[in-house]
This record gives sequence, C-alpha cells and structure tokens, in this order.
Amino acid sequence: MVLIKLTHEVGGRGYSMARKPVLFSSLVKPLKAWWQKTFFAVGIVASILFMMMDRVEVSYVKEIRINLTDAVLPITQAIFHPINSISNFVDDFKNLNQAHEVVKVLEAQVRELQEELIVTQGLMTQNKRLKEQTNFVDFPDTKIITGRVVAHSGGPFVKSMLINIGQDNGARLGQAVMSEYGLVGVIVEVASSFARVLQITDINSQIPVVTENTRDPAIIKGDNSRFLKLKFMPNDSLLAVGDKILTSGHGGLLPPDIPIGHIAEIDGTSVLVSSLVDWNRLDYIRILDYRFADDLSQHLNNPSD
Amino acid sequence: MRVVFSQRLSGGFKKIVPEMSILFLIILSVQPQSVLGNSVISPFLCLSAVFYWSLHRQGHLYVVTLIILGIISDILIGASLGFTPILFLTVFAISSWQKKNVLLKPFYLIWGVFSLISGLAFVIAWAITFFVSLQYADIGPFAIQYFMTVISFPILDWLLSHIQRAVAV
Repeated sequence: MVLIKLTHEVGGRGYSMARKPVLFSSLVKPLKAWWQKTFFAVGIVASILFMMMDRVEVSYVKEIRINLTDAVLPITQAIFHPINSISNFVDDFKNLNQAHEVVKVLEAQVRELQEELIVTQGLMTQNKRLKEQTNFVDFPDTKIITGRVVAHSGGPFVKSMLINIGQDNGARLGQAVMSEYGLVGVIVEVASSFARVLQITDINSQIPVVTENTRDPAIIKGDNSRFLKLKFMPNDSLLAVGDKILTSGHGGLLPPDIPIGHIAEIDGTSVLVSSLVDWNRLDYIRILDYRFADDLSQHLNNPSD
Repeated sequence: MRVVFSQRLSGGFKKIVPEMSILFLIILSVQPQSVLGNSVISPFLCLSAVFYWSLHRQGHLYVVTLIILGIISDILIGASLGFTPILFLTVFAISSWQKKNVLLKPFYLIWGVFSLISGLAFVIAWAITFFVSLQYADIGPFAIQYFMTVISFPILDWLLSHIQRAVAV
C-alpha cells in the first residue's frame, strides 16, 4: 500500500516535471535583464569618461568630435531644409503687406546715412592726417567674413552655436564673432565647413574689457544666463548703470573697442551687464579676421623678420 | 518575395520609430529658425520623448542607441560628450523601473511622474555643469527650461501616441 502510494507520488511529480516545458525565453529574459543593467552601468561610466576626456581636451576626442560634427551637420541641414524653406516662405508672405512701409522707413534711413557719410568721410580724412603727423602705430586692419547660424544650443547647459563658416572660408580659432550690434562670442572649434562659437554668455567665457567712459579694465564672464558679470575691476572704478562695455584688446586675441553691452545693474560689488546681441533673432553673424595675434606669434618666432 | 521584403522593411521601420522621433526632436531643438520660434531656451523635447518611449515601448529602446542619440545631441549643442547620454539613461532607467506602476494610471499621474523624473534629470544636468566648469551656473535658465519641458509634455505625449497608433509600433 505504502509502496503504491510512493510510486504514485513520485510518478505524479515525475509526470508534471516531464511535461513542464522549458521555454527559451525564460532562460534569455534574466540574461537580457542582466545585460541591460550591466550595459546601463557601462553606459553611465563611459559617458562620464567621455566627459572627462572632452574636458581635459584629449586630442583624439576633439578630433572625433570635429569629424562627427562635420558628418552630422549636413544631414541635419538637409532634413530641415524643406521645413525651414517653408517657414521662411510663410514669414516672407506674412511680411509682404508691410513691405511698402518698410521701404519708406529704409529710404528715410538711407537719406540719413548719406548725410552722416559725408561727415564721417571728413572725420576719416582728418583722423588719417593726425595719425600721419603723430606717427601713430595703428592696429592691423580687420577683414570681415559673413555667415549664418546653422545650429544653436537652445538650452541652459551650454551656450554655443554652429556657423556655416569653416576653415575653407577663413575661420580660425580665437576669432571674434559679431552680430550687427555687438560681440557674440569667440570661435573655439573649426572644421572644414563649420565653426563652433562659444557665446559670451557661456559659463566658460571670459573676455578682457574696458568701460567706454572711464577705460577701467575688467573681465566679463558668462554664467549661462542672459546677463554677463563684470569681475576684477579696479577698486576706485566709477561705474554707472548704462555705461557701455567694450573689448579691451588685451592679450591680442580680440580687436579692441568691440561693443559688448551696457551695465544693467550694480549691487555692491556685483555688476550685471546686458548684452547688445538680440539672441532671439540671431541669424547672420560676422567673423572678424583679426591678424594681430598671428603677426605677434610670427614676430616672437622670428624676431629678425 | 516582394511582400516578405516589404513586410520586413515596414517591420524594421516600426522598430526604429522611437529612435527616429527622438533624433528628429534633437535636430528640431537646435534649429535657429524652427517651429519653436527663435527662442534662446526651448523645451527639452527629446527628454520627454525618451520618457514616453521608455514607458510605452521599452523593448524598442536600447541603451546603445540612447548613448548614440545623446552623443549626437552633445555634438549639436556643443556640450561635453557624454552629458546628454547620462540624462537619457537616467530617465530611461527610472521610467523602465517604474513602468508597471505608472503605465495604466490616469494621464495626470503620468504627467506628475514625468515632472519628477525630468526634475531629477535637470538637477543632474545642473550638477554636471557645475562640476565640469567648477563655477556656479545660474539656476534660472535651468528652471525655465524645466517648466517649458513639463508644460509641453501633454502635447508631445498626444503627438507621439498618435504616431505610435499610426505606425502601430
């Protein structure tokens, strides 16, 4: 009796075990979950390593970055070309009814500028004569290259933009980039067909400046917000809200007297500057091809020249 | 033979719809003249898309593709390589982990969860910016972009759900 019962139990258990299907997915699922978790950790670690290498400017990471941007940028432009074209067409159509008024305003501006041109030409001649009389050593001429913004950071993490002027068009590291109103930033990355501009509002941007009225030197810094901060001013500097801030040209990288902004707020030692650039409508930019830095380095390398 | 090939092609296309939508939003957000306007700060739409697809089609998103998409975003916005992948992976990991508790809940709860997860992502982004530059980054722009991202989530959710239904991902 006991024997039969045992056999039945064993048999029953054996039957159920034999019939239970061992699914391939039940083996793969935990493996897949483990793989995903491991890969997630590897991904995070790899991202951190990438960031560190990018930060310390490992040369090949920089090269990879430039090459990838060179490859990705034309694709993004191609994808959005039709959309941008339609958007531009709609904008043009919207502005069509205002065209008559715009033409009138522009005609008035042209008349004013023609009058100003006569005065300016007289001042330029006078300036030239005075320079000749005093043997003034002038800064080298600055060539201008005009281009367009093709991508911008669009967020608070970093303030940079890509422009469609590359090495082939004369872009070089350290060149100043301007809008029609003021300094936009400095070129920090150059490939054959594009360049990356670090905006003056970026947290990593620091530019030597002077105040227009008192010529007090200072450093202007960004903090990823729309305001800039004035640092390292002389203790006896007399600043007032509305004072214009210009590049000082110290260091020889940027040309002097490029307008940057106006002092917007003074609170004790904290001075906030409002940029002259209209960041919301920044479309066309101008690169200032300033030869002073090149001439200086050439002279230091070959003093006999 | 042709049917099999076209079926495979459509199957393959369906599989990459989540990745393609994230890529499209990455490119859209860096356009200087976009439908979002020429705004200095635009919503972080690709983060919302990563959250959406992590909840609704987790099996179609892979860590490797998220890293690649993040790197493309870093290249375009000019951030340090690896910055956006960390944010994407964080959102992906938390959303996948909480998927069962969130998925069948009313929309306002999903929206609430998204606001919490994206909030964490923005705190991480601010911390990375601080540590990478070793300087204090103004919190204001981060907060603005965070609110813009959270506010725009229902529209993106509606859009992606329609895409999901249309292509039957």
